[in-house]
Amino acid sequence: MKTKRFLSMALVALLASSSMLGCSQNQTGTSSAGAASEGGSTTASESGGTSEVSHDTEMTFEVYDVAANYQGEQIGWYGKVLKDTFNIKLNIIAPQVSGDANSLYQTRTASGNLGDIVILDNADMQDCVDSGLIMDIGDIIYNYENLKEYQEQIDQFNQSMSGVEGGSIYAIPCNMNNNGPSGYVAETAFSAPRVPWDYYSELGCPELKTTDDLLNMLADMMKAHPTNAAGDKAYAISMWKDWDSNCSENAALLTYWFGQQVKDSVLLGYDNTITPLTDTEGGYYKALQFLFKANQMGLMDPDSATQDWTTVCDSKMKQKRVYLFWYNWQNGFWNTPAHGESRENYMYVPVEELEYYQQADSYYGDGRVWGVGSSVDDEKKLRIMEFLDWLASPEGLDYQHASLEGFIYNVNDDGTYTLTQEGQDRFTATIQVPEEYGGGSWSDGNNQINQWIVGSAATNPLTGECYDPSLWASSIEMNMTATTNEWIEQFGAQNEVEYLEGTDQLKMVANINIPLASDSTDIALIRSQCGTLIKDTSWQMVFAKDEAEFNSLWENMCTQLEGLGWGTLTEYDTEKYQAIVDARIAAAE
Amino acid sequence: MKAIQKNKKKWDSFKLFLYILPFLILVLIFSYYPLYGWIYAFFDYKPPKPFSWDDFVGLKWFYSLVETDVKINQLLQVLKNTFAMSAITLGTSWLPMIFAVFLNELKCVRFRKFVQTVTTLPNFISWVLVYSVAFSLFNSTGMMNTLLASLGIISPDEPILFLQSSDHVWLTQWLWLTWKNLGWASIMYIAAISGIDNEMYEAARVDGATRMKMIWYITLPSLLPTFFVLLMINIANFLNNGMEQYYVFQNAFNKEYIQVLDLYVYNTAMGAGSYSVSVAISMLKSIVSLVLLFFANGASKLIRGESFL
Repeated sequence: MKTKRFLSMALVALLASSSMLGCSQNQTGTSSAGAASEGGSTTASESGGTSEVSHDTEMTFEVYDVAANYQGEQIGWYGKVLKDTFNIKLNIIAPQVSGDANSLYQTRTASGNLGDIVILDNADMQDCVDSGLIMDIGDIIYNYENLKEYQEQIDQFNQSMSGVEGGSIYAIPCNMNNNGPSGYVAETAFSAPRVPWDYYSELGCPELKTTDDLLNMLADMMKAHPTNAAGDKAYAISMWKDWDSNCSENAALLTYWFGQQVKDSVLLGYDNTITPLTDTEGGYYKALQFLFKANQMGLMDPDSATQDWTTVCDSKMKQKRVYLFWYNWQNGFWNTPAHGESRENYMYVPVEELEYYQQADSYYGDGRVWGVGSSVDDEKKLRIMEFLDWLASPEGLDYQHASLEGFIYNVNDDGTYTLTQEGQDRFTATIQVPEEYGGGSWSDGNNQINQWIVGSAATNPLTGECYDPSLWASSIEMNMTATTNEWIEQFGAQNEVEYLEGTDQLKMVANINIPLASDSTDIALIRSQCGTLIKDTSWQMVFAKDEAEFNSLWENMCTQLEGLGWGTLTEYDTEKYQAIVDARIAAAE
Repeated sequence: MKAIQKNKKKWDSFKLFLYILPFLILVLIFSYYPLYGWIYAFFDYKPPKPFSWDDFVGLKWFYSLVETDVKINQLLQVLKNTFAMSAITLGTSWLPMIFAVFLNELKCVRFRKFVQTVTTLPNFISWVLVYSVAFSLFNSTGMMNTLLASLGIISPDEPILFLQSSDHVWLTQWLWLTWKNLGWASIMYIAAISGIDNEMYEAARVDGATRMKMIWYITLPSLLPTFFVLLMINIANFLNNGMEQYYVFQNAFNKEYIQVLDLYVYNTAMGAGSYSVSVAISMLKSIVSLVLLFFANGASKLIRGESFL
């Protein structure tokens, strides 16, 4: 009897304690925040700071990275390079992969430790600095010679952050370069109309003055080629819905053709104007009209409003079922040396009335920044700084942008680089990396941080060329095909950018990178409610039955927007982006 | 002597109380403690800034939902969608029961098992996959349009855009839901049917009852308690008609009719990180659900003389 009673009591106790188990709190990570400011600078030597750090113990850095598409330990060839050079491992935390980016950010910030290295959007970085989550590295950063190269840009960004005192450095911008604030090294504009060269030349390379001419030309093209080679129905224009945020992403992109860029609720013009998105003279309205006309003429893929990016990319763009491309990187889904020889590559077609908005390369950075977490200890801080310095060094950049010497590229007699066959195929095929370099497939082992302190547009002091392999003289030589030659002959310019600069259609704006305030809860709510309405109405307008419905949808949207607080929102955004415009004007002087 | 007995009785009841204590603690932790989170609805909370009393805003977020006519209309439309779709689901909640009854009448066991498996399977497919199936069936060059075109009902150049249609959204969404859930929901009833005393059927058969009569007078009345319990649970979840389904099927053209409360919260607040507003809406939701539950309980008492609470 006694044992029975004892057993029953024990059972009760066990159940009670097990129900509490899930609630123990994680108390770590809060104590070391203040410890980091002491020491530090004494250990890093004046001349470079790399020699005195010991690599005897292996260290793992947690990298909280909003740009990563991979979560977990860095493996493969790049992992081996880091292990061999610094005896470090990277544990990448990727909110994009985690499933719920917002709550991951919220829980990690609430715990007081976001990561050892963090890569964030500018506005989030400002919030995290305000909340004490980021370490001030101003004491030692310029002891590192490669980072010191970018002192102007790093200082400029940190000084424009609010609440940051002189001499303090919290953030290192992503994708900086050394070409100056208005440099642009690419051969293509970010957005411009591009069509299959064989079909365009088949129509006799018609001269296009307006966007209506462009639509008529596309209509002729569709009439001549209603399907692709496999017999699947082709359309001039195909859109997708899953990239939309606060307006239709596809329409927003086309505003580039009208010399403007959508920034939240306003349009920034290359002429330094700021107008509301709902301006009927503005690029967004014109883009909607363009797409509406395309649909009226039967040029629009009817599945546009219901398909996602993967569908349209894999089953349409890669199958030549879409005749108009507008992003420059979109070319990569079709253009190859083989298609170039068969005259099938997508090429720019000049449309006289368009003015293309183009941002200069990100000399000051691209809107994201690196930082060091406030809870790392002194030893780790030095190891991290050493690593960041390497990331900005020519040696580190060659690994990040070009990969392995002797396998992906070779060094020529004059010191420039040439891609090997493996190098040329690295994005289109699965390349196995030899065991001596770390094994595995090349793309699995590629740098999974997916962000760079110095971008590929920067000039490599060792070669005098850009870090970007596609811009090496050897690569441009390799890509001279029948398509390119005919295009050059037809338009009398070496490439798209040269042509557009000749006709003064490429409207370059200087690169500006300053932290803008993140939305307050009120503004965020107005923004999302207005955004949903604009997004939905935009799609309805593109697929409107006739001109009258198109207009009434627009009118109706504008009335409803007023009720949702659109006025407050555009006022807020105008003020916010005035800082950018002012900086651009200053940079142009 | 009496005192000792009384003491023993007290000790016994305390011991009995200890047995349920763990479960009380579980309920407290997982059902009542989270209510503390409601406090966010009264604050202007925005991570990564730590939670502080300086940001107390009172009922601001509740007002912000109904500030202007446009917002009120939007909210009303959302509520209308939620109620309509839940009502359709509730109104047809007898379908799984009937399905189970008819399934039970099938004499060929193998065929019965086959039907049961086939109808249960969709329950385990995620909504994202259901949408990709829907897209490949109903896009402009999908199976449905190809079929209609080859039958000459439509011209191949003018496909019907099923997924873009803003007509009958409530109904089509209900059909998708039923397709996914019917088999799964009937499992409970199949179990209940196997629990019905066989002697009743034998007695009925002796009395000359037909199959329909046996269903009507024995099977259905025996299933009704199960049905009402499930109905109650469904009513309490009236406003929680899910969000994944509507999230994947939503597009610019059907948004007006497909946006239910949960999706509205996601579209307007959660997606933009406005946690406070989301909490405010979900509080309203809990209150409405509570009212509905009491209403259903009262109705059950009135109609059947039995209540559950």
